[in-house]
Amino acid sequence: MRGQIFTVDAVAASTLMMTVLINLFLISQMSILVKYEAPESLLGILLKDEEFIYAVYSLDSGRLRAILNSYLGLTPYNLTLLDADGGKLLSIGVEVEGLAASTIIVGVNGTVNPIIICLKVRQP
Amino acid sequence: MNYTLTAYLICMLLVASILIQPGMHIISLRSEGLEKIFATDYWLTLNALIYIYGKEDSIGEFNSFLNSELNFLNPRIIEVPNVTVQYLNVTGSRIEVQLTFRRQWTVHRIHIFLKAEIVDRSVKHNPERNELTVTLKVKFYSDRPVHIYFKVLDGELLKIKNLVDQTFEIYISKSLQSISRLVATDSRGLKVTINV
Repeated sequence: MRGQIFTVDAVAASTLMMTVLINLFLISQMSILVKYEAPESLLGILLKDEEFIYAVYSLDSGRLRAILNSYLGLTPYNLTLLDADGGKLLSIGVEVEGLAASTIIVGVNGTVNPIIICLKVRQP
Repeated sequence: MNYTLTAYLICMLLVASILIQPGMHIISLRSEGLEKIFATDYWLTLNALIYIYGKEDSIGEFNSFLNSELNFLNPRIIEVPNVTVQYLNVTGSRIEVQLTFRRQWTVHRIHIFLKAEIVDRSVKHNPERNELTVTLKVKFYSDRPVHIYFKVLDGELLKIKNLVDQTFEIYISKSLQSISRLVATDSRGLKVTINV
């Protein structure tokens, strides 16, 4: 009788350990997919607008705010302009979590003056 | 029950060891916008086209400037395209280019132009000032709607009438001997010149 109890105990213990091990293995293999949508289309639309490009090159934050507000309304955004070496030239808007849509405009009016444009928009 | 208690203890240790070292992978995916690529390539092309205004070797200058622009593109930010010039025509009253941009995932064409066509021209002599008053009716064609600004070299711009469909009536005063030129610049910065 005592031997049978030990056997049942051992089976229960093995089952418990196997269950925990399998679960731990599954959890360790689990990936969390965080899919941020960078506002690529919006940046594309803005880049078509000559007013936007010239406001970028004149580092005119007031004009840039006006243009972005006309496209985005009250949606929070962050627009950061960097030079070719990554130095920050201008940043407007608020801190926004997510991916930035970014591109380089090499110059305007036949000049070479690369500016990196990064735009983040809060997702709904 | 001793075996079960020992198994519990081992399980707790395993769970604790896993919790201490979080092994979850976070994968972030990003997409590249076609409109953004179009717009970026458009500005590359436009900038090179503006650069060659007034240059003698327009094709050579265009290619070398475009290559220097491409060198500034950072592959971590935007994929550097392979560019083929399909058509480049730069004359006084016309500037036009067509390029093909090839990337791993897309091929597209950029076509930019600004053309001026004289629809009508009349000349009147002003005997009081011994000058000529030239009236030009010029129609502009472009790949997108633009504003046009005018400047006259060796003459005086008297009046501009903005007619429909990018057509303008321009009144210019010039001396009898001078060869005046009308320089039209669009809101993008492209320039064309018309002999008055």
